[in-house]
Parts: sequence; C-alpha cells; structure tokens
Amino acid sequence: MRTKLLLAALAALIAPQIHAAPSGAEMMQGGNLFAITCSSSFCHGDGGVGARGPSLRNRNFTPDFVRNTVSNGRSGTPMPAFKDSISQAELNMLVDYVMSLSPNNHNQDMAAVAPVPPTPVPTPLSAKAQAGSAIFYDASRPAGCALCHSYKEQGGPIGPDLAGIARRSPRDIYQGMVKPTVPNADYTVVSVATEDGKTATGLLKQKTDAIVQLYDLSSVPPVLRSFYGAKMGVAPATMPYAHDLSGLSQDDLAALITFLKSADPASKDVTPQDFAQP
Amino acid sequence: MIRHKLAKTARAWAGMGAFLLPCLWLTGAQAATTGADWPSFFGDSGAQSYSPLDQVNAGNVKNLSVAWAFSTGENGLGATPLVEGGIMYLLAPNNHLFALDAATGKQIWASTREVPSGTLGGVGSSTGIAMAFGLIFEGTRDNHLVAVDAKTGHDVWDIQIEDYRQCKCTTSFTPIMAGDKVIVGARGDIAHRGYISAYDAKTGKFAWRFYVIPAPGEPGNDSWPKEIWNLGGGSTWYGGSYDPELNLVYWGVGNPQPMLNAGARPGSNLYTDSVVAIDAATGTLKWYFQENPNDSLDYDSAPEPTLIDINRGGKVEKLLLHANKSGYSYLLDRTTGKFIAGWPHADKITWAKGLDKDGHPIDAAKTELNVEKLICPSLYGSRAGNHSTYSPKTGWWYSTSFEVCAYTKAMPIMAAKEGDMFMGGFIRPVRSPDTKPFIAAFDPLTGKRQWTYPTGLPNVSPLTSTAGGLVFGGDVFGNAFALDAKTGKKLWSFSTGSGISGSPISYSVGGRQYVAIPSGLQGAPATLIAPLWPEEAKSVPPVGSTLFVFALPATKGAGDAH
Repeated sequence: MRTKLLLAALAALIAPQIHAAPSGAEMMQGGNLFAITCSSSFCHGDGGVGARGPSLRNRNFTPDFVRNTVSNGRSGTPMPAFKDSISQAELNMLVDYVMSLSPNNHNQDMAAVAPVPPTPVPTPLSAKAQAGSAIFYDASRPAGCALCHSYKEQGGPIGPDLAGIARRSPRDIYQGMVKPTVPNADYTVVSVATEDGKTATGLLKQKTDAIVQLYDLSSVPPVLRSFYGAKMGVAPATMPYAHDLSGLSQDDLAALITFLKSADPASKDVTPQDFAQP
Repeated sequence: MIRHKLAKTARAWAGMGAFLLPCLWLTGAQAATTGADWPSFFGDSGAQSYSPLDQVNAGNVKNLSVAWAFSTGENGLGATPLVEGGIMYLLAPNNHLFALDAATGKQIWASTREVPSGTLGGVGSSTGIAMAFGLIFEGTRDNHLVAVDAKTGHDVWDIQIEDYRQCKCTTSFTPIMAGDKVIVGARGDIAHRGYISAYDAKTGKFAWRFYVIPAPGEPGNDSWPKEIWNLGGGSTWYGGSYDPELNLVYWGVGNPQPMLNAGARPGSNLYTDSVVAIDAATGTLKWYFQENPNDSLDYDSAPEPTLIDINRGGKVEKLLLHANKSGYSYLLDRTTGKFIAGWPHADKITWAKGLDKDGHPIDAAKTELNVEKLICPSLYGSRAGNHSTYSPKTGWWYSTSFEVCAYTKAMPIMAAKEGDMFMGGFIRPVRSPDTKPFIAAFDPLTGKRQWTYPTGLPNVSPLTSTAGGLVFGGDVFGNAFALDAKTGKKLWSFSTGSGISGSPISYSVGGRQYVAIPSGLQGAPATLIAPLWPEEAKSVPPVGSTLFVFALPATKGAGDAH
C-alpha cells in the first residue's frame, strides 16, 4: 500500500491528471457506481465479469486507457461515451475500481505504463461475403450450413471447419457443395450395436472401451448419440449424404462461396460465372 | 396422535376453502396428482408452482428443520431441483448435474460437462431441467440441449441448438415437456431473432422452431422496419407452460432490440413483449397477446404463463395469468387469447396510466433520445424470473415486486450484427422514491390484493405454495421462509448462510413431506442490492451453493424416519 501511495504521489507529480490513491470508501463508492452504470443493463456483469460485454477482470489496462474509454466510448462497439453523464470525481472512482479488478496488473501503480497493443482489426468482409455469412449462419434454414460446419471455429461441431478451403477455386468449392464427399478422409462412418439391442449409424466422434459416440445424420441438425458398455459391436458402414441447397439461387451460392473464401486475404467477390460448368 | 392432529388440520383447511369459495371451484390445469414428485420446473405443466402436500402446514411449520443439505461445490445455486420416485435431480451452475437420494441427500451419480470459455457467465446458467421417458433434459451453458439417462447420468443424445459464439445466446432457463417433445427457448439480451424450438424427447430429432419475429411474407413482419427485423430480439428467457388438452405451449416473449430505442424500430414489433400460444404438434402460432407494442423500456413478457381453471356453475373456464416486468398482470382466455382483465401487481408504476378495456397501456411512456426520464418499474422489472405461485386451495396468486425505478434514456444506435449488444440507451436504477419492495397475495380474477408482506430488500427468490396453507421463499440474506398463505404472516424461517434466488419445491418420500430450498444468490436482480441498498448490503453473506432440505422432525407416523 505504501509503495502504491508513493508511486501515486510520484505519478501525481509527473502526470497532473492522475489523482491520489483511492480510500476504501471511495473504492466502495466506485464499486457501487460501477454496479449501477456498468454492470446494470447486463453489460459488464457483477464485478466486471459474467455478462455480455467484455470481462474487465485481470486485464492489462492502463488508467488512461480506462479513463479514455469510459469518457469517449469505443467506436465500433456498443460501449457508450459517459463524459457528459458522470462527473470528474465519479470518473476517477470508476477508473480506480476498474483498475482494482486486475490486481496483478502493474499498470495500476503507474510503475510500468506499457502501451496497450492495439487489438488487431479483422479485414472487414465485403458486402457479398457478408451476405454469404448471413446464409451460412442462418439458423432458420432447415439445413443451415452452420448446423454442421464452422468457419474460423464459429458454427457447428460436426463437419470440417471450412476456413481450410478458402484457397480452393470457386468451382472446387461449388463441386463440394453439390456433391459432398461424406465422409472425407478425416471421418469414419460406423454402425454400433449395444448389448441391449440399440443400434445406430453415423459419423464416428469417439470410441473408447467404455463409450462410442457418433453423429446420427438421419435428421437435421444431426444428433450426437452416446452408447456405453464393454460389449458393443462397432462395424464400418456407409451412409448416403447430400447437402440440401434448396431455396438458394446461383447468386446466393456465389455469396456463400465468397464468404467461404474470405479467410484468404487475396480472395475476391465470386460471381456465378466463376463456378459455372465449362 | 400427531397424525390425528394433522388430519384434523387438513380437514379444517378444506372446510375453510369450501366456505370461502362457495360458487367457485378452483383446480389446477392438470389432473390432480398426489404431489409426491416434483417432476417439472414449476411442479406441474401449468406453471402454478403449487404442491398438493399438506403434512407440513401453517400449524406445524414452526417445527420444520433440516433433514439434509447438499453442497454442489460451486458459486450460486439458482436451480430448481426435480424429484421423481424418491430420486432428486439437481443442476448446478457449471453444467454439473447430480442425482441424489431425495430422503437422505446421498449422491447417486454426478455428471459434468465441460464449460468452454466465452459462454455467458452467471446469467448464462440454466436454472431448470425437464424430465420424461427416463431422461433428464438440460440446456447447457454452451447452448446445447442434452438428454441424460436418469439411471446412470450418461449422455444419451446431444444437440447443438446454435453456436453460442455466433448467436451469443444460450438456452432458456429451463426446457419444458409437451407430450413427447421437449421445448426450449433461446436466451440473450442481444441483436438476435428469438425462437422456441421443439425436439423429439426420445431421439433428439428436430421437430419445429417457432420464430417470435415473423419472416418477410408472414403476417406481422410489417410491424418491423426491413433493416432490423432479424436482429429484433424477443428472447424467450424463462420457461413456458403446456395445456395437454388443447395441446398448446404457452411462452412469454422478451423485449425488442435495440432495447431502449423504440424510434429505431417503428411498428408494434410483433411478437415481442407478447404471450404466444403455439400448437405443440406443428409449432404454428395459435394466438398472441401483445402487452407492450413498440416497447422502449425492456418490459419483457418473459415471466411464466400460469394456467388456471375455474369452474363457474359447471362450466370450466380455461384461463392464463401472466405477469409482465412492467408491473401489470394479465388474465387471458387461454383457448383464444382474449383479454379478460388486467391489474397492477406493483405499487410504483409511472410508465402508463393504466390499461384500457383491451388490456393496452394508456399513455405509455417512451424513452427519449439523450433525455433521462425517471421510469418505474426499472428495466429489472417489477419482478423477473423469480416465478409466482398460484394456490388452487386459496384461489390466490402470490408474487413479488422489487419497487425499483430507473433514469432511462435512449441513445443513438450503431450498426449491429447478430450477437451484438444492442442497448440503444442507458439506465441508472434507483430505489422507488416512495414505495417499498413486497410479496403480496392477489385474487387473480380481480387483482384485489389480499395481503402484503414487506420484504425490506427486493425478494429475488421464486415462490412456491402448498396445500398446507404455506408460501415458501427465501431472502437475499439467506433466510428461507414460510408465509401463511391466508394472512402473509411469517411462520418460519431458517438462515441458510447465503442469499436465495432458487425455487423452493416440495415432495414426499415414504409418506414424509420435504421442502427443498436452494441457497446461493444468482441472477441480475440480485446485483441491484449493493448499489441501491448499501447499508443493508453489508449483511448480505457471501455466495454459496447448497441445497437445504427440510422436514418435520421424524416421529412414528410421519413416514420412514432416517
């Protein structure tokens, strides 16, 4: 505490906008102000964690960063600017409270003010790729892509993550959509029969001595089924499979392929001519 | 001797009921059960949270003491346990599911599912499970619906509803059963198009999905601007109810998004802030009743739709009672959705002058861009997910009011994509200037208040009533309590050592009645206590996670003593 006070005093000399270290009462007021202002409306959560906005615990913030963010908001995010709605004293209390949520962050002592590395901003998707993303993640499509597949690890857990195909040609991707190879080399189709007479066929997820798990693709979304017991019969099997592309126009497919290629920085918007049969 | 006394008391109660209700015969929405089990979130499919057990009653509840306790080893316990055939199933916040001997608390099995990073925190925990066909149905933190074998704790089937990282959503607080289907909502105060989904309970096969916002071309889509309809919210937060005779599922739909900026979405914004009735076979809309068109105050219609049957002169009226966070309750005909009556269940209501003959708010206040207005109740609601209870025995409905207001304003909205926060405004909650939090009993037909029990701080626990003439709940200081259902007088309390936000239940094993009350504060309304009541907040104990189970002292004749 003494070090902190000393450092705070030192900091006050070199940086006039830094105020004195907070008292316990001020910290509690700051906490209450935080609870009303920042954790209500379900943004940062009770004690800065556990709600919809980013967690504020154990971060590498500097006080200036917090002060600036609370005052001016963060453009491109839902974080509003509070400079017109709270006083300077309240702002100070909030900054102290938010800094106190990261007890191992040396920035709060101003001993080592490391610049916060800017968050890398992903290259924005083109309008066409965005339209494709909307189709990919559309949960109201009965056979929505994201029920099985993910893209950059967002989506379903069953089929392969499709960011890996970004460098393929539009025509290759189109072929994979209309004539999927299921299973591909990474997957095995099995039939399982348990001692008590249960059977199922699907994409194998896991097999140990005690458990067999497979994705039953006979309904959409596929159901992960688990079977237990030492005496299970597990045999290779085959399974017919097709992608349901009904309701998607050629332009929709072009948008979808544009999105599927977006992980490749060199990718461009795709048109139906790019994957039309020669 | 004791048995004789109990029987006498029960008779006295029955007599009193008959005396008080000479021409009304009140029943549950479901066929009467013995009440030994607590097989669903609300105890029955009509969301009454009522136990027909009466061994523990107003006369002897003062003797209620701990039979056993079970600690989950976690922080917080908002879950409602289920009981069937002497086995209790309990869900703890981090996807931990336990099967316990309901008479002794002995653990039979525990099942754990990993919680991946980035899921919703405290508000993301499910607080309920459903049960049928020997399976337990659990909505998980990572937005899967999982069926677990009740005998072994093994997963049987598992389905991802939507990637929680994409939709920033998770399952409703509880799934419910509707015949052979398990029905589950989608939760999250975000830019999203809300829905209710149904899956075949035995196989996990997808059955239907009802979107609470109609798609272009469907009736009601024109109540939204083109740019925003598919981000318009309508979270289906809580649990619904089910009428097996009509085969209808009833669900309360949450607020539109952006939450506090109604100017950004001109139109009535169907079917947000509505109670919807959905055909359980097909998932199609049978009727809706919208409580707050074009809402700008976050007045979710999410609380439970309680089903009440009333027999007037031999004709059974099928009714539905529903509380809105706005402080008003609505009585509807649940066959047609027709509005019958509406009345306030809160004291401090400033946002509207009342309800008109069709149940629509009179002079409803709207937020203004960058201008703060004091609005009561606050967006935390007159109450939230802490469910009410309806006692067919007294014919009364018991609910809570927080009496919290908020300075509320709209703010300009920024472009949003699915899963983004979409507040469109800001609030500063404050205590109501001139009213205090309470629990009260109401005549559901007229709204006439029967008694008021001041709670000091907001009561965030759900309430459960019993045929023993009791209403059970718990306060933020950790006191489990029983109120006299007739008078509101506190008859019993027990300090559990951590605040209570989970639902009491009652069940019996071997003829002995138990009352289980989860201890371990959880949920958004509890976060109001520290900033708004700083003095009292000093006495709020740390968060625990223990289920306390109470019974009358074991004696000869009070069931199988342990």
